[in-house]
Amino acid sequence: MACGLCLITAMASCKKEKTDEPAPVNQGELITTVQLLLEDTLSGSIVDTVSFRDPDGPGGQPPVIDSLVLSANAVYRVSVVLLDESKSPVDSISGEVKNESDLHLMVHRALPGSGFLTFQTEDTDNNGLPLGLQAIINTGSAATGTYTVELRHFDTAALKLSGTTYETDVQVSFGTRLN
Amino acid sequence: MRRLLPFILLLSATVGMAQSPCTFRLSGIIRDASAGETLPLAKLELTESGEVTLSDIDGRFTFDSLCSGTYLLKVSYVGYDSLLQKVSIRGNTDLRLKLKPAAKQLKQAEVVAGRMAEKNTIASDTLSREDMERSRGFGLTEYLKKVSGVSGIQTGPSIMKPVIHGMHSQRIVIMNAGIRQEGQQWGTEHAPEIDPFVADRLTVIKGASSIRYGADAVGGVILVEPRRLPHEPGLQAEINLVGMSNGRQGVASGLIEQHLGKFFDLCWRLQGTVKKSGNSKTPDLYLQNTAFEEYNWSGSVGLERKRWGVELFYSSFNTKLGIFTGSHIGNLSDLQRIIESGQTISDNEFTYRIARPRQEVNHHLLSFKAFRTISNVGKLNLQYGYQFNHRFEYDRDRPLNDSLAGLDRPELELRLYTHTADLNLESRNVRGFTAVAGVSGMMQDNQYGGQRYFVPNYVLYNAAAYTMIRWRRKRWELEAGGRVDVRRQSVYRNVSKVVLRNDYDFVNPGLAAGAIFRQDSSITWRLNTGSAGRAPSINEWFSDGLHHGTATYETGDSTLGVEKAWNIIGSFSFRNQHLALEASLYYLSVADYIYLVPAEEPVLTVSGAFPAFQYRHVDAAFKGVDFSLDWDLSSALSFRSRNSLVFGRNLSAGRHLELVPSPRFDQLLSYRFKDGEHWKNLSAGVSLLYVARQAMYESGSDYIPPPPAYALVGVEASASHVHAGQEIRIGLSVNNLFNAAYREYMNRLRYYADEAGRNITLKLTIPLHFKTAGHAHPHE
Repeated sequence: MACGLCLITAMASCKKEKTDEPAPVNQGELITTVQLLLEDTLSGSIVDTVSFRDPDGPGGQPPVIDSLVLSANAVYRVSVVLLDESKSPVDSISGEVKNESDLHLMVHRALPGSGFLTFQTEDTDNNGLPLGLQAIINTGSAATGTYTVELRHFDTAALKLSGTTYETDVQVSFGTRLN
Repeated sequence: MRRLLPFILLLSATVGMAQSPCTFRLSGIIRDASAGETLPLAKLELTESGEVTLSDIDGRFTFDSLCSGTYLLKVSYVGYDSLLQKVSIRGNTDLRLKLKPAAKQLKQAEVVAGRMAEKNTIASDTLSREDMERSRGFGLTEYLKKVSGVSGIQTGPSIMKPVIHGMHSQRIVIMNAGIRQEGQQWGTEHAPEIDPFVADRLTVIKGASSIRYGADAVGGVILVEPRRLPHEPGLQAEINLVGMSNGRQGVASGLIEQHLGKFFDLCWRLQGTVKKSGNSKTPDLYLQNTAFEEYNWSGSVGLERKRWGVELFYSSFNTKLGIFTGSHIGNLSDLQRIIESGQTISDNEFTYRIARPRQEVNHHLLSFKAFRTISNVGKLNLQYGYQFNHRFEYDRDRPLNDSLAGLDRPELELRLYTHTADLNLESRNVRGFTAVAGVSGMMQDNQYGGQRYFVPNYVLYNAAAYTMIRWRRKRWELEAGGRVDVRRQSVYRNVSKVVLRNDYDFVNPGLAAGAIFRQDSSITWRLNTGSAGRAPSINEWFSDGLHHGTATYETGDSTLGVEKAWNIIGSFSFRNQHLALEASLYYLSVADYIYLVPAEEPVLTVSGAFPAFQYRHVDAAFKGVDFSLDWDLSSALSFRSRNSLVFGRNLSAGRHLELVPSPRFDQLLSYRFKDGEHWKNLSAGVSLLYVARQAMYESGSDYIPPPPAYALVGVEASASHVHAGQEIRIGLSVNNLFNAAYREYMNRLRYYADEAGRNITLKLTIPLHFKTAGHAHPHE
């Protein structure tokens, strides 16, 4: 019992935090921004940057999403950049994904399905499986649709190989027009 | 390690076990009071231990191996009034008992009324000794589910909380050792932080009529009462060991208590429980990361005199539990993929390891209570309680940043400090009137820490005054009471590094009235009505974010006001020596029921679109039936039945309410064997639990329709073995005997996996009695 009393005293004395001075929320890691850098494979220059930005995280202000305009029947290289803009300085998350490449997969897909946009990933993880932070896009004939990037997070490298059990970390879609 | 200390002390104390003094015999003869004939086959029961025997052909009976102490002996016989007699055992005792024919029924009604004195008129159920024994080793909710009208709401195999008449979480008040349990009840994945081994009695009070325990008990109250400190000098201990096949779970619990007769009537007790379980297994596979462990201990010390008494109680509950990995999803398409493929299990193996996502919860409770009787007035009770609830939640994924990940910090840390105080006066009986009047206060401080926002900090003050008057005369018992709660809650938020403070003030009145009519010695009618008002909880005001692992975006509404409930419960009970039947009907209306309403637009986030839910007021109603039956078919064969039906309706939208338990029918047939020389109370039984499909479901209101009905068969056997004065109680049971694969509507696991499969449980209870404190030492 005496032991219990000491414990209580200890508990009471370690209560240093102040209720009326709450810490700011969402101090943890957050992906607020997804940027697509589009490079003309012929000239090697960045021709467009579009982004999905939600600096206050989920909820609150709705995200701001750019739309993408590309040339029909052309070839681009896309690089996906993930940022945490709620921090200052801005924190880049892409590097962390690269470090854990064997647990991540960036999937690129588009609607409508056939021939609108086709993708080939350029980068691979430590095990030689696709990573997808960089990909080549072949555009089809003039049309409108959506382009979605999705970051899948696997518990183990073996699960990435089987490909079915994962958690979706990022899933953003951009309205896309081919001229 | 320090948490284990009391348990080790306990074990070492038992090594030096002395010969038990429990060798006394209580015998006697039963006669008809008027004619003087002996009465064969009368039922005799020692109410404390539940030990039962029948008188023989000559009206004689015997109880063996009794310890010294005071017992309450209950004698019942067809056509006669039951007799309750206090028996003091100091040595072998022989009694001559006389039973009066039932014509004089009034007498018996008074006896029953006398026993009812502590109880409310309100429908309440106390778990029987057998049901307590049957549940040993399981969680608190598993015990309470033995009461008709009570079910559970679950998040996987390790987290389950009680549901009374369709209500749970903040709508139920749990009184733990007389103190209002204040844990973090902000969701269904927060189970009550109570070690059921502390409980000696569990009582469920159904309905919104709780004047004494808080206005916010819209659904009901659960009383968890620790065993009373010993009132006879001596040292005794009890060891409980439980092993379960599913999860390869082991539980060890022990207590040691002493009444130091020589030193100021001082008594003390130490109690501890260790529980460890690995991954649960469905009929097909292990559920990844469903292991859990618990380390709990409690201690109390008390001094009781005739006119006053004090008691200090402390308990520490510590758990670490894994959340089923397969149930943690990133966004809605992940959930849909799981539902379609049906297979989510990545890692099908047994382990005791607890990985992320997981929870760690510590709950400390300190209580001090005192009473004083005042001549010609009554009894004055004072109770103070301090609770500290410390909760850590670890998300599935560590931060991508390696240095952050290395720290392995919880994403969420919540601290809740609560002080409660209650002062009341119970008046003595004056011409059939008794009354209770009291005041109570609470101060609560909630602090949030960690990486992820959940609920803001707040400070809460609540003051209440209540009174209840009861009048009892002959067959009638009437009761009425009122309560008023005044509350101020100051909420502190950090919005863009600016601290915002909002104050909320509430006044909640509550009323309750009840009546009991005892038609004759076996039939009793009850009617209760009451109102309650519950102020919104902090999550209903200020939730704003993705809910941990459930793929929904929940938004609170700080303009929500008090939820006002009104209920009526009518019940009928019939009781004779062979049959106890109780049926109750209830209706609960909740105006401004706080409820998560789906929003029209999903919330778009970086990880996809999430269905959005907002806390809103709707008008709701719950109605249902509870039916229970205990029937002795013969002197050996008995049948026990617990059934409940509940319907919940969202009146504002004209729809069924979601997550209301489906109809539940729980039956047990048991056979009691004759006592042998060493084996006593030997019984075996077979149980059948049938849970219907929830048919009251609006299609499309859930990701999947409610799972189909299921039936589970179980078998059980128990006995006490007495040898050389030492008793050992043994229980063996098999749940889900046929290893049926099924899913339960009230479990979040239903989206992902089946419920646990077959579970074989072996229980041992060893009560130990020591001659005197000194003799406990092996060298003496």
